[in-house]
Formats: sequence, C-alpha cells, structure tokens
Amino acid sequence: MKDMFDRRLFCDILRKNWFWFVLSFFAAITNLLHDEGKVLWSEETSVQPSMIVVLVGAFLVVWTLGRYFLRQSSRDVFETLPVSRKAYWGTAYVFLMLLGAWYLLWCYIGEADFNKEYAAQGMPAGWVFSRYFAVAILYVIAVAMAVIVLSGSTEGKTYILAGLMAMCLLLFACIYLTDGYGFEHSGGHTSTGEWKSEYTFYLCARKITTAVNVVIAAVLAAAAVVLTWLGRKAFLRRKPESGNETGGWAEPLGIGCGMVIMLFLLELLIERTLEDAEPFFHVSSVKLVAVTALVITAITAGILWKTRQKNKTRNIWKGMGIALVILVSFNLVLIGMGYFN
Amino acid sequence: MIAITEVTKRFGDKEALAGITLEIPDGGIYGIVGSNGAGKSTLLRVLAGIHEPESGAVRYDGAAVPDNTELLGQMAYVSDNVWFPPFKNLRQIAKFYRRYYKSFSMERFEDLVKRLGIDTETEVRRGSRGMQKQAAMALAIAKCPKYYLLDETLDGLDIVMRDAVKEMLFDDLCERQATVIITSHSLRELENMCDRLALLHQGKLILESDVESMKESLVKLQLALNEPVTKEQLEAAAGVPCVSFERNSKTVTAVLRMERAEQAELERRLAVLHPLMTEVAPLGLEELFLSVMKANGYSVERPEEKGEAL
Repeated sequence: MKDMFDRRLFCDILRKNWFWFVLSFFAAITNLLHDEGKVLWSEETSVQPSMIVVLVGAFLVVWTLGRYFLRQSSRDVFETLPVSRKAYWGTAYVFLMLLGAWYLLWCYIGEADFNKEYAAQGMPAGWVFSRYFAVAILYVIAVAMAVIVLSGSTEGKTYILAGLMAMCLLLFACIYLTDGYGFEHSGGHTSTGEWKSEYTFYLCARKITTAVNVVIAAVLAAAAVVLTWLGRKAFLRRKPESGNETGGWAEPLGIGCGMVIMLFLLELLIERTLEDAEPFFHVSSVKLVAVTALVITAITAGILWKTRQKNKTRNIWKGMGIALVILVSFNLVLIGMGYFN
Repeated sequence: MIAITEVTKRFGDKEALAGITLEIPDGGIYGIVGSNGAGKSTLLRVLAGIHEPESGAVRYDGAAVPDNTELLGQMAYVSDNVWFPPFKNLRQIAKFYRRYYKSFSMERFEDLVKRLGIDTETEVRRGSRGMQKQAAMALAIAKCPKYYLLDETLDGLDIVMRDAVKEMLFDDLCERQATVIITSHSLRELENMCDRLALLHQGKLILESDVESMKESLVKLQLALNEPVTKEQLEAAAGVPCVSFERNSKTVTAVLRMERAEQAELERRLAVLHPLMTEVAPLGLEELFLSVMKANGYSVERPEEKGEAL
C-alpha cells in the first residue's frame, strides 16, 4: 500500500485545493440557511444558490486536478518528480474520495431537516444521501466527462475518466444500498388547470426489494472496482496516442457510462426547466432510447470532428454500444417491474 | 551510460522517433540537434520517462526509467516550455522540490540565484520566458542531478546568462561528473560545448559522433568538371562514401567522411575524374548540418532555383 500513496503529493494537492473544501462548507451552510433546507427542487425556485456554488466548486475541483494530469507542460514537472505512477493514481483517488466524503458530511448537515421529513414519511432513519449532493456529483461527472472526452489528444484522460466513472458507480451503489433514491416523475393538474410536476429520486429503488438492491449495489460496486483497475492499468502502461491501445476497455466503458449519465441529467434538466409545461421527456423506454441515440450521435459527431483519431472513433463506437446496452437493460428492468404501468 | 535501443515513438499516425539507437557516455555533454519536428524533444521526454516508447528501451546503467523513483530523483529535466505553478515565487518552488529530491541543495540554490541575480520573491510566472528559463536552470542545478536533460534551454537566454549557465554546467561536470544531454537549434552553441553530437531528422538518427572527430573527419569537396559525374563515380574515385552529394550542371559539391591521412590523398585520387578545379576544405558543423539535411531532402526552395528549374 505504501507505494500507492505519496504523502508529499497529497499534501501538495491538498494545499493547492483547500479552498474547495471551504467552498463546500459554505455551500452547505447556504443550503442550511436557505428556505429551511428545502432548497433544491422547491416549487418556488428551480435553481438555488447553494446548488450553483456546489456545482461551480465541484467543477473547479475537477479542473484543478485535471491541471495536474492533463496539461503537457505541468505534466513535464509532475511526471518527472520522483513519484511512482501508482502513487499518483492512489493519491489522486484518496483526494477525490476525501473531498466526496467532506461534501457528503456537509450535505447531510445541510439537509438535516429534509432527513427528518423523510423519516416522518417512513423512510428508514440514517439514509443521509443528499439529493442535491447526488445531482451535483452527477453533474460534475457529466461535465468532466465532456471536457475530458472532448479534450482530444491529452494523455492520462483514460484513467481520470475511469476514476470518475468508478466514483459515480460507487455513488449509485450507495444509493441502492441505502434504498434511498431512484428516479420517479409524477405530476398532476392543479385546481387552476396548471400542470405541476413532482420530482423525487427515491421511489424507484424503494419499489425494488432490499435483496435486489443489495445485488444491484454489489454489481455496481464491482463495476466500479473493475473500472478503477482498468483505469489504473491504462495509466500505468500508458502508451498514449499510439494507434490501437489507449486503455483497452476503460475508455469505452467511461464513454458509455458517461453518455448514460449525461442523458439522465439532460432529461432531468429539461424536465426541471419546463416544469410548468407539459413534460416533454416523460420517462418511457422508447423515448429514452431515442433521445439517447440523438444525444450520442451529437456527442460522437463532436468528438469525431474534434479528434479525427481512429482509436478514439473505435472507442466511441464501443462506448455507444455500452450506453445502449445499459439503457435498454435499465428500461427492460423497469418494464419488468411494472414501472410504466 | 545511457543506452537507447531501437526506440520508436508514435503520436497517432506520426512517427516521432523511428528506431533510434544511441549510447550516451557518462560524464560529458551530449548534444542533440535536428530540424523542427525531428524528434529531439520527444527523445528527451522519452529519456525523462514522460513518454513511454512503443518499442525499444532506454536504460540508465541498465535500469529502466518508468516508475523508477530512484532514477527520477537523479534527473533534472528542463522542458522547452517551462511551467511553474501559479502564485508561487521561486523560493516556494525550491522548497517544493526539496521535498521530492533528496539531493536538492538549498545552499546551492541560494548561491545560484545570487550569481544569476534572479528575484526569488516575485511570482515566477510573471517573469519573461528568458527569466523563467533562468529560474528553471537554477532549480535544475540545485537538484544536484546525475543527469541533466535540457530541452533547448540555452536558446531562450541572453548571451550573458547563457555563458553563466554554461559555466555552471561545466563546473558541475567537473565537480560531480554529471551527464548533460541538451537539444538545440543552434549548432554553434553546441559545437563549442558538446563532446558528442547526434543529428536527428524526421525521427531518424542521421549522424552521431564525437564533435572533434566529426570536425576532423568530414571534408567539403567542390569539383568543377568537363563531364558530369554521378555520386557512385565520385565515391569510387575518392574511395569513401559521400555523406551528401549535390550536382549542379558541371560542378559537384559533396561532403565526404574520411580520416585525416586520407584527406591529403584526396586530390590525387580524384584526378581520375579529370577535374578542372578541386577544392577541399574542412567543414564547420553548421555547414555539415546544412549539407546533411539537404541530402535528406530538407531544404527550402529558393525562388531563383525555381526559376532555373522552369
């Protein structure tokens, strides 16, 4: 384990990124003070200051870390330091995990009232995952995915991509394990005839039995471990831009999962934006896949235009395949559960 | 000794290094010259362990670079595009390096910045490119490395600083028998400071030799002839291969590699070609570079040449 972590590097990253920790603290405080904690999806406003702070802060964290590993000129400095690549990998991961835990802590505190409310509704006590935390992380990952994938010929992105995706999968695994959140959209007409949407995250998972949740969580966690391993492997044997072997399946997996997440987020975003209108992207398997195809095509077109690389193109096609498999499987599971009835 | 064996490095479809094989002896200054995009910086990055080659190997006294923290601790790589963390002054950066490099000497650092007159309290990024290169050199020398990998480091410095840096490198060579590998576009710069030189073009090693014998063993030959001769005819007459050969109607300009003793005999040997005029002259490195590059198809067509061709 000793060669997987470099204390000096960790201190250095920490020293350069301490303000993100402070930022998340203020974000949580803002959240706590704003509207008695009911902030994210309240009916009055759809975008909250705390959400913006968290999103901007989290995006900057990814950007700052990216500076260490993506920019050629800074890599000239950092990669010639007498620190092993294993240590880079491990240290960056520890930092990300620590930051995630920190966010989580403050989000829990910030949403204490909400948690009480959930408990009153019969949700098991201690299910502390903040909804806005989950969304913020997913947004960050989606943005980071786009930035990293579209950044073209930058070395080391495969492993960052895999790391981010692994974190995302772990997050989902936690959500399933705690039986906390799924995706549910419901709505109805008010007395004035106006359409009102309600959005909650947890119902889908609650419909599944605990045993199934545990299985799903285990699969997601295993996938996270595999991704981590693949990313690390790709990072350690980096032969970047060498034609055929940029990271094996790590990059296609990252791209595929990223596409799925981006699709979900896009759907969420549009539904939230068009809250008062008739929901356009009402969750249905056919529309979901159709939208996926559209989004994937647009992303692919952008990437192909940007990179013009054979290996990249191949990885994108693989990623598209993975995204479609995930989405179709997800929809089949939902249909099988009678979710659309 | 640094042994580079059949090193190949690709970036997409572009082959940056095509099977480079070199041996760099310890305790000297080794120059790498070449055209733009020849692969000099890539070779240095491979040597520094930033890039891994697709095939081939780099060994420092038998040890491979990737993940070799001990070896990395003995290297000082100065990139052509020097980078410093934002909001940091030189002293803070020196402290950062001190944590990573066991051999980093703060005393030496203080001495260097004093000698070079570098401001250590201002953010390094605010300085000019030349000042940043000075700072990078001061940090590199303060690491007390066994291997210096310098990518066009002298090119951005003014004459006074260049001399000061060279002097410091020479001192380090004498004191600690360090090995310096330096790339440059300026042959004159390297000619006077390097023990050995390698010439790269389009990722290939064109020429490699120690500077003295390179200067001594290469001659520039100019012949005026009644009848045009081919390269093969000239090689047969001279008894040595041509490094470069250029024919222009009835005149021939060629670079030949031969021992000094043979050079005295050259005019006699060429008599079989019945030249109207023969001129044999020693070759400067810059001339050699130009001839070799031209022979390898690297030249800029001049308008008047174009006119003649038409």
